[in-house]
Amino acid sequence: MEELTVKDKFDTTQYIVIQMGNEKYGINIAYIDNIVRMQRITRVPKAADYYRGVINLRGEVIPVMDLRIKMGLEEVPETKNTRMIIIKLDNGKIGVIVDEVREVVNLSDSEVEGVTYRNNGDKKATFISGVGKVGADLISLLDINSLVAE
Amino acid sequence: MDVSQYLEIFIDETKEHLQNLNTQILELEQDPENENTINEIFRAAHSLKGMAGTMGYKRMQTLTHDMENVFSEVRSGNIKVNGDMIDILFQCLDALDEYLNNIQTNADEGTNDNENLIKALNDQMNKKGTEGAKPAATEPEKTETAPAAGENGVRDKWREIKFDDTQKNVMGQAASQGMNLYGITVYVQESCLLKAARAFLVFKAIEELGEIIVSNPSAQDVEDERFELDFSLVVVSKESIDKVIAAIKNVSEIEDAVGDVIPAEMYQAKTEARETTAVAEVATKTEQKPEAAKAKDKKTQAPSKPVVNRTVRVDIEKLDVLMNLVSELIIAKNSLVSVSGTESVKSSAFNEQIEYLESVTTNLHESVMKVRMVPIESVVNKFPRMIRDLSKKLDKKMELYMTGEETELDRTVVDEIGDPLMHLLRNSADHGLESAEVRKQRGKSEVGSIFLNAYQDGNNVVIEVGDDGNGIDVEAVKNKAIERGVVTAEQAENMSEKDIIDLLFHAGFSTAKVVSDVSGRGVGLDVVKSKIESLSGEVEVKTKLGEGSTFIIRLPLTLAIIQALMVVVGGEKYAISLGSIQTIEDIPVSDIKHVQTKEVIYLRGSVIPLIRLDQMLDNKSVKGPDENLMVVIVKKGEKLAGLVVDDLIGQLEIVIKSLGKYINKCKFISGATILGDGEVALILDTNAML
Repeated sequence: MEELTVKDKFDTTQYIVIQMGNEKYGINIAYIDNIVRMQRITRVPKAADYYRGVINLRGEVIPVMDLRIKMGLEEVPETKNTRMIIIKLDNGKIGVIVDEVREVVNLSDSEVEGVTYRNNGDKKATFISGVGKVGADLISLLDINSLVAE
Repeated sequence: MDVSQYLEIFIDETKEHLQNLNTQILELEQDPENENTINEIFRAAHSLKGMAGTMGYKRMQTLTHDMENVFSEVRSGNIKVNGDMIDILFQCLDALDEYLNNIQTNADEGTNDNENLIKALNDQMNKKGTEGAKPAATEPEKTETAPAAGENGVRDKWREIKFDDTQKNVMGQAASQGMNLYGITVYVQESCLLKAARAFLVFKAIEELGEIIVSNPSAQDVEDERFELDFSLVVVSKESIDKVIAAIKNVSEIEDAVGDVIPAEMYQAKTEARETTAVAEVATKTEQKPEAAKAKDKKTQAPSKPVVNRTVRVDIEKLDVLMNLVSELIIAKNSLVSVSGTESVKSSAFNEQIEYLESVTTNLHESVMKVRMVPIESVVNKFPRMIRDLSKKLDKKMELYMTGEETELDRTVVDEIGDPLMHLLRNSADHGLESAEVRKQRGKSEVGSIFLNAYQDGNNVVIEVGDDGNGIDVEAVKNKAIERGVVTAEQAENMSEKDIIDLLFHAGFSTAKVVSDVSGRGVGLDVVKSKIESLSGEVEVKTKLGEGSTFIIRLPLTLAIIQALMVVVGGEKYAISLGSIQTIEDIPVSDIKHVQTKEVIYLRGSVIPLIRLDQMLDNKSVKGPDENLMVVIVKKGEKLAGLVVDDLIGQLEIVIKSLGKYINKCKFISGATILGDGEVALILDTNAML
């Protein structure tokens, strides 16, 4: 009676890795509906400053957030690598503008460390749910729900 | 017989009958002698009984049968309608409602036998006074049978049958067509065991020679063997009376049959032409065959309206699918229009076809919208009954006046609007109207008035609910708010009267000293407001202390597709609903006046405030400071305002898409739309700006 332990292969979560400046972040692929190129954004008055506006995605009107502004990073001009990641949540879709989309990685639970940042005013800290290690890189995993919440 | 497939039809039709009965009994209360109403009620009870019997719901059948009996007596004039009877009838309706609810949830009518109601009904029947002596042998507890004045003496019981107007009409018509009218009383042998079977054979025998117009007791009762030893008939026939009598006597176990030509006085008392009731009779007959309704056709009939409604029941999901498809079609049409504008395909034939396509899609959209529109009558028709119950409960006299029940709203809105309206009515009844003494002191009539008016205003439907009671005591509200810590005393001083009244819509707020189960718990008004706002509507209050209050609810007519005017503000495109727009003006800068630091213009006799859209939308106009202003005059009810835009694009039919909850913090933006070239334009909500 041998125990087959194939656990390692199947307990992993896939993350899309994005590059913002010189840091890498990961988004759980389960939340991702779509990745599209930058397109025309219609401004919505009186919205929060990190919302750039809305876009028309094949007949759907989807609000779009600028991740740099939300995370308190300085704004940079758009490049040909800039993308919008369309996130699907329970009550609607949201687009997130990122500098660059790199790759997909598999991380098992053991490869992720939870973090507890002290609240030192670092905006981006509140959206990180953990840090994953892939090769020599550290990838901060984004907590989508807190990103989108008020 | 498996009746489960008819369950849905049964439930729907029973609901309608019950609603009809509610309305009719209310009317009867006001006008107890109205024969039409009495007949309607009798027919409705009869239909209900038939349907319940077919579906196997014995308790419903028994209750409705007893109700029908009471009404049969009322119809023949044996007993008169009084307040007690009305109360019992309403209680019966409630019991039937309960049965129906049980059926809806469990497919079973429940176990409540409602014996007390049945007893009460029977008591009513035994109250048959000395008015008119009738031989109707429907109940075993029968009492008097006063002697009649006929040539055959007591045997001619048919002479005592009192005919209602329908029957008289039919008899009059038959007589004028040269047919013979015979009244016959048939006596069954005492030893007969199967009286109903014999009676059936008698009926058959007569029907070979003519037609039976009237039967006393009713044909149903004869079938159920609810008669002692005799029953009377009115027969129309071309044959001689002797032939008919002979045919009857031919049936075994029939002891005797006596009859004669009916004297004209018996059916000529009232000769009001009532063709509509004749049509209603046909309607009743079709209602007794619910199983045959494969096509789900239904006839709704009220004797006063000569028009017969033919309707089809449609699943609301199918309507939603249809609406979505029409929306997509309109977007596609818009894209086509914009492409045709840009491409060099400017042939006139092409443009003509595009215009034709546009008019067809507009018509299609309107038709589909109409399908989804439902008159609010279906929601408000239960209110008179509710007010009557409240009137008794609170011991205050009150009347409900409703207008505009035929005003139509989208079906989804109608479903949701019932609860808020009910709450506002209860508020008026409980808090608004004063007690009888106070009203007398103030010189008001003892009976309080509550009114509900519905009408269309531009692109909106307005529903006003109000009363002529106490009005809202702004001071009391202010003090209660301070007491509850909702606002501080200083804040309260600075609040306008309108702001203080708005406090009422906060959760938990109530100035009622006593919490009753009618209202006062402070849960109501905030729920009302949020419900209405979830329908993209709004609610406001107008009140005068001592005179009364009115709640004004405004709801958008169409939810998905509207005609809009496209404008440009600061380089961005926006849409304004055409229904709110009154005029568009070109105003030179010199015409702008200032009133209390606000910009206004004086236009055709009215002072209209200006709203600079570029400022409202955190943008900047591209027009120079001296250029003429392009002003769109919009209205909301009585109020007008002028919206300053940079430029106009034109009229467009647009599909409203929601912005979702994440990004829409701006009160003035009600949604977005996708233009023909794929660009997104925001839709302005002018009602929120005024």
